[in-house]
Amino acid sequence: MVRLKIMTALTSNPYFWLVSFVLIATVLFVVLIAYFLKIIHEPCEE
Amino acid sequence: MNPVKNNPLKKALYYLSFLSVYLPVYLLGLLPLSVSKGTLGKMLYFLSYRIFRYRYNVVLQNLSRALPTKSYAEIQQISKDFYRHLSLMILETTRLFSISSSSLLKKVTLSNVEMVMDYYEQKRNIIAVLGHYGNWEYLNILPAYLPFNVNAIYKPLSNPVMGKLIHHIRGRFGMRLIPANQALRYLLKQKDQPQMSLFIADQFPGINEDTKFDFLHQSTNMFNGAEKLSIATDAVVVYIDIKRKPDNCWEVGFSLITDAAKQTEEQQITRCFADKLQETIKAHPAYWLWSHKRWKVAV
Repeated sequence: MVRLKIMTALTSNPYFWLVSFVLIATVLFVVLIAYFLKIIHEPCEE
Repeated sequence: MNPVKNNPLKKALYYLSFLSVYLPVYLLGLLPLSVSKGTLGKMLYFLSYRIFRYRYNVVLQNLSRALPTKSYAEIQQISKDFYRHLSLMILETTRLFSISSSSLLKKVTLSNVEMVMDYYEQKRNIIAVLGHYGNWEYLNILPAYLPFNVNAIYKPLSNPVMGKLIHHIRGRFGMRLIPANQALRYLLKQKDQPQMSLFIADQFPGINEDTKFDFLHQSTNMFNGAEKLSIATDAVVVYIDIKRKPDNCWEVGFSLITDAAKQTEEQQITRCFADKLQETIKAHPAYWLWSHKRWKVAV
């Protein structure tokens, strides 16, 4: 019950969605950049 | 036999992985320049230099050994500038997924292209050598500038999804991609059709006593595939120098290495390339790819 109340309060708060979006976007961004760094360095180092 | 082609599940997974990388990168490339190079550029610099310290020891070691006359403070400043450049270069590369040919043409200018055109009119094949300097991916626009075919000789990547991504951005403006192990056969077959073939020739080639040079104050094995190809096809060899201009555009300059490859002494072309690249690096060190493990094996 308490958990449900916390979840309801969180999901009705726009900042929750904003922070989640920013976090997911940052993680995605870091993963993509890691991918690019691998592409750049791989042919140089075989 | 390609296992991806014959297995529908693997094929579906392959396309799914490609799309999961392609779509976010495409969207990233659509962001306005002020956001992409400004906010994201600074964020990426902060993450790579301050937080993750991406290959920081490699960068510092390479810089200290290659530029022994520089003080520690100068080396640190160059390493900071390098991380800024690397961040911008990655973001610029993401723009290549969506940028139009006309917009990219405005970002790249050519100098001394008349020399290349003269050799084209003499129906000579051209081999252009360059280093991992500046933003070499912007050379993908060369086919839109030049009236002849431009090939990029490349080493296939181990990951097929990464390979397809690179193929996509390199081939968007008409660049032909030739795997390094097929380059000689391809160029000999096309000998009578003047064209330009690009070689990035500063990567670690493996240990070979015959191709050892003093490069950036270190004993260095250099890749001599471009020299072998130019002698086999009697091609003109030119060096490509890429300079960042103050307005964040790039200037691509051509300079002659030799137009008589067959008459050169052994390793002369590779030596000349190494000297030219060294001069370019010393002029503006931050733009070379210092994070690659160029001297990972003592030679």
